[in-house]
Amino acid sequence: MRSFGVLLRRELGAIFLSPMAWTALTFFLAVMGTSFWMLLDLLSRGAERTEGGEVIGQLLGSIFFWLALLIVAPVITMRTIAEERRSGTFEMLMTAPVRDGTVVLAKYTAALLFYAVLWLPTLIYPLTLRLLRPFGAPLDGGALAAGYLGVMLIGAAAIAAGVFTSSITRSQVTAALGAFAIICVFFLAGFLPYIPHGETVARTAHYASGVSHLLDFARGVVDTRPIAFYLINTAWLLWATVRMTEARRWK
Amino acid sequence: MEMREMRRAGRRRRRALRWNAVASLVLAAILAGLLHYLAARHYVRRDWSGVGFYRLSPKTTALLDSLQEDIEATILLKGGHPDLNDVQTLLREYQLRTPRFFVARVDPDRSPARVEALAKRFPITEPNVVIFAAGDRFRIVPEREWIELEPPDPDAPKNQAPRRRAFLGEAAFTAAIQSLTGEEPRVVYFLEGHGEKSIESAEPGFGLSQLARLIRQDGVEARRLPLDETRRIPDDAAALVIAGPRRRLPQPAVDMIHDYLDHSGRVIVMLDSRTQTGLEDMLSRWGVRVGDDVVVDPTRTLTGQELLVGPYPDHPITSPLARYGYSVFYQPRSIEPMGNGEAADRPRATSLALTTAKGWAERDFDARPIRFDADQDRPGPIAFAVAVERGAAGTVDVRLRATRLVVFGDSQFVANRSLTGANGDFFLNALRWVMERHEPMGLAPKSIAEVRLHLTRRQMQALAAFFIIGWPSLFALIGVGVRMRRRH
Repeated sequence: MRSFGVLLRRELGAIFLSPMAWTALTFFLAVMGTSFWMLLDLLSRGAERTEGGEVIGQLLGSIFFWLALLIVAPVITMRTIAEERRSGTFEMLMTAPVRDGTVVLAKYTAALLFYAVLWLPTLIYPLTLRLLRPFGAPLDGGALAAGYLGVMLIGAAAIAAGVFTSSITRSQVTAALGAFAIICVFFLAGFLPYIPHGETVARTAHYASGVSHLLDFARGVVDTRPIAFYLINTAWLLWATVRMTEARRWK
Repeated sequence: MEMREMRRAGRRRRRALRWNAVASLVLAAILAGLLHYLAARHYVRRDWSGVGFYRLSPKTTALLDSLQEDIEATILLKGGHPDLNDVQTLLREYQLRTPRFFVARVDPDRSPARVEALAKRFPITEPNVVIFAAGDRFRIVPEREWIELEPPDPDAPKNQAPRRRAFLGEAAFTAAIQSLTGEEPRVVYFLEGHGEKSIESAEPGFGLSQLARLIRQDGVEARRLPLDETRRIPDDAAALVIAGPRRRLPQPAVDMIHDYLDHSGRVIVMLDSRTQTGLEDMLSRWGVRVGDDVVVDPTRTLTGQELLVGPYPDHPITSPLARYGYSVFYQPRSIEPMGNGEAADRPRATSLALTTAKGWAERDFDARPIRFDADQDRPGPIAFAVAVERGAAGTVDVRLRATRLVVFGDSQFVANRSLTGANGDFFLNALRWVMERHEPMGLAPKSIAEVRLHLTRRQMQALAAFFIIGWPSLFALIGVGVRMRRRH
């Protein structure tokens, strides 16, 4: 447990001192800020009907979220293992008296914490909306909480995918591209339920559709199915990462 | 020699480890798949939002949980339709509730072939519908049943769509699903042979072909009943409609209709003014007085020929009509309840359409100009449509169904030419009521709020500068600061 704390602090330090992290944060906020401004523009024209939860859907469930996630998650995770392997520090880490699982978990947790930090400055958006006192339905607190829960769950799985791709290659670029591909396929598959299909396909597509999950969360619907979906996938990807690092140790 | 063997042993060990890793990855994938399978089957779904716009009511969830057969819903809406998202999201909640419910959407712009296939299977009469089907039974819910629009604003620009006021999707869809459950007969017979209006005629003034399409769209079959041939009302009749006979019905036919009513029959009668059909006496035994007159109301007419109805009295048939606006009747005769008995087995009659106090029942058909004549005309309010129920309530035998009868003082209002305003729905609701089908579920509409911000152009620019440039830059600066401190 102590070694986990030490490792986590090391990882966090590495992230927050890298220029990449701050660039990612700036990029992320610019994208989400544009999304929020477009929402404000929409509301000021008043043409769009929006329920309390729907405002949050526009804020968190829009294409901008996916755009940001597609770029940010690979960028956060690409260096986690690949970089250490390339620079040779990974061997040191592996020979240190810590278990592989602890190492992977510390790296993953650090990346997830950074992802959460990315989202912290976005809390200013609902605050701003409240301050601007829109006419009509106020912001829905429940939907907001559920929306952020969904954002964190999807992020958790995306980051697990990033850490996994980082564990199978030495090259950061390959790792980032791999994570990008996985998230991209997942995002595009999210539109499957909106295309006509047979019943079984449609039900499976719904179960695995991140797009519809996020829209549901953002209107305040908390379902154990998507929660389980992301937690199982996160766990499985992390476990695979541990196995990959173990197998690689013998190379 | 030893060295080589050690190397070989190491290689073997590495290979074993790699296979070990692969095998455990496969196992983990299988385990994850199993967990997904379990998670998809056992779940809890909660709505944290305060509005709960798509939250299903206990009535709907109880109905969905009790479904015995598969129900297939098809949303036939163009992309960009203002209700598309609401309808889709709500019906997805239905689908997520039970594996017996399945939703698909067809975009008429993108898949005309599928629309054609649907049109072959269902009598679709309008765009923008949701089709519910269970086996060979179906029900088509048109747009107007799920959305309530604001009355058009005369000051608004011409091409601006009316604002949506409330979403009644759950009430409309749940009622449709409800009407698909159960196996009761779904044929309604239209009496013929005495100058009645025909469901097969497309003639504007005397044909009911449009009405027949509306009925079929509602999932009920409409058939002609030439009474001279059969002499009896078929057993599969869910209801009998007598649409404006012009000639007197023979006494055996009248007796047969009375007998049918007496055995929990379901009848809609439309009687035009200036006709004698022989049904008048029979109806009086059911608590309905049929007047030999014309109902007029100068405050509810434009040309003197028609009579606008609305607001409506409170009754399951008429309450939903308020959303659709006025219905228009054409010189109806008075149809009034005769005073209700107290006993449960006495028919209870309720007015469905009334004039204002300024209207009256005119006895002199040829008087010009028409004016109220205190000696022979009766003062308003005058009713010209009545619903009668003789309840099974209070009887011991629960299988005994109630008798239901609706009498309209006009048949012109459902003719092809006249199916405007709320006319079609007035008849359809009456038919649903007599068939005890599609009873209102008492599900409240969800009001549609409009969120609007009042921001000037300058304010919008300032907000853009802050959120797109200012706020992200702040964090870029912090990042630079962190790196500077680190370097020193």
